[in-house]
Amino acid sequence: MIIEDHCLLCGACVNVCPLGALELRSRRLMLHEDRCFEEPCRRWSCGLCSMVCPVEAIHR
Amino acid sequence: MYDVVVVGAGPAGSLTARTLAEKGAKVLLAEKRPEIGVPVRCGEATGIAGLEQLGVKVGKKAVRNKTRGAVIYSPNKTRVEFLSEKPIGYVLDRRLFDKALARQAAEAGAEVTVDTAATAILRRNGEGEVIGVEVSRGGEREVVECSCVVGADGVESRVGRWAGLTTRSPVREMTSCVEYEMVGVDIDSPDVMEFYFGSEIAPGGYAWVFPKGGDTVNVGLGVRGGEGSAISYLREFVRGMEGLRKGRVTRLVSGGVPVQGPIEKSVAQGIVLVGDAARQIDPLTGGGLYNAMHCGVIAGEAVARAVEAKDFSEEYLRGYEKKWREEIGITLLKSLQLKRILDAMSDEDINAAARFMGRVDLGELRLEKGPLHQGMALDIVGFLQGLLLKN
Repeated sequence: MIIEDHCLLCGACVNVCPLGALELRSRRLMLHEDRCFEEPCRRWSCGLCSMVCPVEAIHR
Repeated sequence: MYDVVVVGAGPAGSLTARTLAEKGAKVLLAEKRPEIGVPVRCGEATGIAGLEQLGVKVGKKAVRNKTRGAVIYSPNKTRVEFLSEKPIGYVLDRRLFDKALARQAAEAGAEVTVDTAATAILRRNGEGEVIGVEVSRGGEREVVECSCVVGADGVESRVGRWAGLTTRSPVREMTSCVEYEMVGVDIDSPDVMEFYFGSEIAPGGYAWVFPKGGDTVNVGLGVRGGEGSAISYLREFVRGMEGLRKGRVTRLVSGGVPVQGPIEKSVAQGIVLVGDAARQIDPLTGGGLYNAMHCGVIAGEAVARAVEAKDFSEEYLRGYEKKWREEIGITLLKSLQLKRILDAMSDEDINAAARFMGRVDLGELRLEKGPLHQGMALDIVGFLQGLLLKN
């Protein structure tokens, strides 16, 4: 889950996502849920995005 | 009431719990997931010598394949061999391996529970000594009383964050990894691990192919920086490999490996971090299994002494920190050095180094003595340092 108010649009998560599931487009961070393969069972998601987020704007 | 709650039933947690139980401590080993060993987050290769050194017995079923070492390919496909006559490594089934380790902890007397996530650490008056852990077990909130918490909860360690020990990894120090398990592939050497380097293959990291027996392999890569996502590099890599192209993917694994070296402080009052949670990860290879188990034993012994002394102060627990840095600190430092060197090398530099190394007999005795990746890393660092000094 992305908390847009917190997001600085720094792109750290975009760079680090192994599956290319995050994208910065027209000043918005977008999660392509179909690319995050663990989407059907979120608790298994690798969570790299939330690990590198400097402002805890991504929650698993 | 337990002496110790170990959070996370991976190899680090299970070895810590087993060692503690063997020394007579009352231990709870708590895994947040419903099944130990799942999902796999690993290339699954390790050295035999390291396991023997730690007294870790591996059942036949958990060993998918035995390997005689590694072949490294430079960007222009110059081969460097690190091979032994005899098997020196395993490709494991980590699901079975991790379960077996948890079982060994249980047989030593530890209590094991799954579907149990730690949600908070409880301290006397909110800030004094540890008095328990709040957990969610099967969705129900519970308080488990204990005097010490071991955080073996992986790179995203929550225990570490609660204790103020874990700092966020900068993106440039986080290797982004994906791996396929593939079946129906052609394998040239069924007992050799392959590593591929190059800025077009895996910038800031490398690709690996680990044979798992029969026509099955683990093929994956880790990248730092680079143009696209790790999976886009992996797709490209598989397309470019004749033997792999026709295979089918039966598993996809993704995750991150922080490679900036170990955390600065791994203990606090009533808290100990071990394994990936303490970033006891080899920054060069990204390997963490051996170190996690090794440090698990060290943590178990140190915390058992604290249980006996009834002293869980940070000062007392520092014995653990001192010991693990003595045992693996040099290796981690060497690997960090080589990682820096490798980061500064261009594809052409790596090709040149591979050409030189192909002519040097690195001595297979080294491989048979220590865990494969450590022996390898030390050899390569020694070699490169020699090379750099000469030039």
